[in-house]
Amino acid sequence: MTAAATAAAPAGTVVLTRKRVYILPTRQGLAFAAVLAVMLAGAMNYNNSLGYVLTFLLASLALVSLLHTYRNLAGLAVSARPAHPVFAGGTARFPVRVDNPGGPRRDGVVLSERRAPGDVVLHLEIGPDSHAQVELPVAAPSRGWRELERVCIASRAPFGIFRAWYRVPVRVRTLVYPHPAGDRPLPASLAESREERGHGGSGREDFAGLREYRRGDPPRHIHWKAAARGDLLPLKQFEGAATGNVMLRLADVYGAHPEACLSQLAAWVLEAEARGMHYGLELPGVRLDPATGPAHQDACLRRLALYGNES
Amino acid sequence: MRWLAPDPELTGWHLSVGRLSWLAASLALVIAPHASRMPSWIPLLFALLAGWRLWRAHRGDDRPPARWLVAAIALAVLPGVYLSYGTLTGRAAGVALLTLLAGVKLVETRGLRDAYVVSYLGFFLVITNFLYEQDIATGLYMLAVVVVMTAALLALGGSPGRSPAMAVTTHLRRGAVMVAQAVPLMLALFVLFPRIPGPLWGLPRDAHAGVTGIGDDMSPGNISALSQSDAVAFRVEFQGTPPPPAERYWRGPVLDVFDGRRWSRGERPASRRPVPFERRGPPLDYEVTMEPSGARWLFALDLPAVPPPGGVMTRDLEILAGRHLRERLRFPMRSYPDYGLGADHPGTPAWVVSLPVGAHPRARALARSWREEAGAPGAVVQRALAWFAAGGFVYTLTPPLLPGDPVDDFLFGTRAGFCEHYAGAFVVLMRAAGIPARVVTGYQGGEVNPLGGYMIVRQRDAHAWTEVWIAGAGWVRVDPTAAVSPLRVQEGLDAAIPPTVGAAGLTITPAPAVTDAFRRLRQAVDAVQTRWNAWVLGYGPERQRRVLSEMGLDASSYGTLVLALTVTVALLLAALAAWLFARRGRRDPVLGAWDAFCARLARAGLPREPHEGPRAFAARVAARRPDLAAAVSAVADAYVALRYAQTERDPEILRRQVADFRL
Repeated sequence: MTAAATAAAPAGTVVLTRKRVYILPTRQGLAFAAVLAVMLAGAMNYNNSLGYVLTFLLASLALVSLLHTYRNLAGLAVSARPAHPVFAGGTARFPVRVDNPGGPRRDGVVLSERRAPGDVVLHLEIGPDSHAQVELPVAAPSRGWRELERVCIASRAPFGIFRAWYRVPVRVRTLVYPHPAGDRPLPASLAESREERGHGGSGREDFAGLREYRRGDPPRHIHWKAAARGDLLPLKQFEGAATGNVMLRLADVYGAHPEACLSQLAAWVLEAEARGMHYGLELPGVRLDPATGPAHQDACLRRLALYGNES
Repeated sequence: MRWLAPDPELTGWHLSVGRLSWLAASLALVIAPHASRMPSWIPLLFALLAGWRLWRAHRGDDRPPARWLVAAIALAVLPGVYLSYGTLTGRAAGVALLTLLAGVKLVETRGLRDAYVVSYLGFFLVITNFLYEQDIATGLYMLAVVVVMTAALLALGGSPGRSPAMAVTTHLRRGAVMVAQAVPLMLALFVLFPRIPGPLWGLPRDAHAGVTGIGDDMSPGNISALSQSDAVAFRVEFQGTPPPPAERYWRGPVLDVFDGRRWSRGERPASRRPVPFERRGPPLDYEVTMEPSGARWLFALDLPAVPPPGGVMTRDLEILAGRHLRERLRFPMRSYPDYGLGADHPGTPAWVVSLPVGAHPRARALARSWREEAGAPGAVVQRALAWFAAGGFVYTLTPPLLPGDPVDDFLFGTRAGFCEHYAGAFVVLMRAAGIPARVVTGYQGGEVNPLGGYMIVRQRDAHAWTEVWIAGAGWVRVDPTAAVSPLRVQEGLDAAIPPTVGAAGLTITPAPAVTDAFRRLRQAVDAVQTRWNAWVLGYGPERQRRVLSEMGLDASSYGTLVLALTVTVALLLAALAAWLFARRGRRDPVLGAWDAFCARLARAGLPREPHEGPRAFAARVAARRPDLAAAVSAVADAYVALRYAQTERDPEILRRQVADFRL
């Protein structure tokens, strides 16, 4: 996570100048203040000089810790890059880099998207003249653009009585494909009939081997017998005969909820790609000619992701 | 309610064995000095509870103990403390409850909030120690405890979750550094924070238990009880030369009513003004710092001229403070060692010659015979002193009991007594001879500390002497103890009493060199102690006003103080911040030069991509701007050489290349 040396910060970096860091006492800090108030009242009542000394020492310690907490963030440089596209319901992982140019060692720095309940919180420790490179997982619940407008970088070190934070405007986004779902069979290929293909995977498909299951793969290609032997989900791959052209049309899945239609289309795209077929996509106003390969798959999924809210 | 929702930044927080050990250790350290002041079951129960919690944590058992068990322990604690102390309030019982509360809390502590509560309880227990002891040793010990507690707080507030347990010394060192950084601010707050004369609310009855000193009356035995005590009664700083030992009579309560055994003060309306006295010689100016005695009596050299601020002087030139001395009091005094008091009239009611009816027949008979033989009061006094000197009287700390008539039995029977026996018997003799006389109690003596340039008067210097009224001369001080044991007055108690310990008859006579070295050590310790008392413990509203007015601040207005405090704290914080943040600037010069170089190219539209190493970047720049190719590759090569080559090179080369680089 921590590299020994760092180069100059990349473009789009936000440096946490001193003006940008906010700081407030935490609940523990407020409780500490209350304890100090009681101690001060006690010292006054008993005219206890060492009581005064202790109260003032602790109050000074709190002020000193404020500077330390503040220093834990000040001067850090934060940048983020777009994450790889994910399917809806999955987790987008945004690469975030935190540079510590020439500063002291930073301990107890935490990074999250919004510090909201359920947010993943990453804990960083960054040495002097070094940087931390992490992937911030954020939930991508629905298709479309998932924006990571800001990341919240915070620190309560050393005592936990103050929390310094800044919501860094990183402004990166990633594409969220529709969640592939739906059990409708692939539409008949332009060259063959659905009945010929059947459901059991008979006849014209040649079993080509196993690979690991990835989200979006058609569940019916999971090799359940092999799965029972190990912990990975093996996926049967086919090639050869099933290279027919298929046109995936929104019109073919009408009737269901619009999002469910897009999910079905996404599932078809994955299935067709897994089978090595040539497939095209037809949405209202959009037509992608049949082709195959990862780039084509991404292009199709991208159309599905942005369908209706292209921007 | 976002405020009450669990904070996701803290969800991974776990009370590890390390964190728990820090908490338990800091509590144990702060409770340790209390242990000797408590019934032994309390520290024992605390140790059991803490040990149980640590043992469970060590076994990885994180479940909370059964709720009923915690409740049962907590409930059992209350009657336990009540049985031991007879109360649940007050200083001693309060500390006991806090100690046990800390133990119970430790047992049920699991989460972050509980851990902080335990930590704060520890800080609170530190302050309870100061209700008992405020000496330098306690202060230093508690400073060390605060460092440990700061380290504990570092352990609590550090990276949550499974972060590797930082080494104990690392935490302690960081804690000590932070405490050291806090000290200047603490000093500013200590000096400038407006002091209010306390108390804000009532003090518990036992708040000042265990203080002793000279009381309002005198009967055989109560001054000799004080003479066992080495405790400091007060300290005196003279502006000039201190008076010789034989003149160090520190006047306290004047006792003129006798019931046959006990001497006490008569009824004295407060409205009666002090008797004016004739000032013959130059005055002595000095400052007295009284230790808390629990009483109102203040002590000054015979004869004090004016009462100190806030005090009053009675008719017989006794001084009373405005309130009971619950804390150290420092006051300026002026005395006239050479005086004439009441020369024309005793100025006191008839009871200065009265004696209990029918008591002390033999003493009365003896006094009457003197009066008849000698005639003049002065001659009677001389006869009495000579009689004491020649009569086989013994000065002793452990006089035999006087169950019968205390005066006659002492004068004609035991003939062994302490100063209160001699003073009391002497006044009885004088009154029986028709001479007005009274007992004066106070202190006699005082040891000059050459290191501090002040005098220490201890409780063992407590003394009783007499005053007799002689027409024309007024009240004359007569010390019958001096007739029996001149050394007592000349050189103090140690010289007058042989170092015999009690009835065992065991004699320990240390070599003179040892006692001398010990005395010097004790003086050195006391000198430090005195500064501590004056500047740390005695820093109240009074001293604050004086210190600040010397600095040119008007401490009587809180506004000025608050302003001065705010400005000082702000300046100190700014200085600390500048120092802390300046360390950010101390960075690798090679990296600095390279960053500056990249920044200049970025401004020219050629930003370095994050993934690009120096050589790749130089190649790309060269492709885009062939005119810069040579210069850029030279800088990149120099950077790579400085950064990654094994040999030592001068970073200055790179810096100069970057400085000379022209786009």
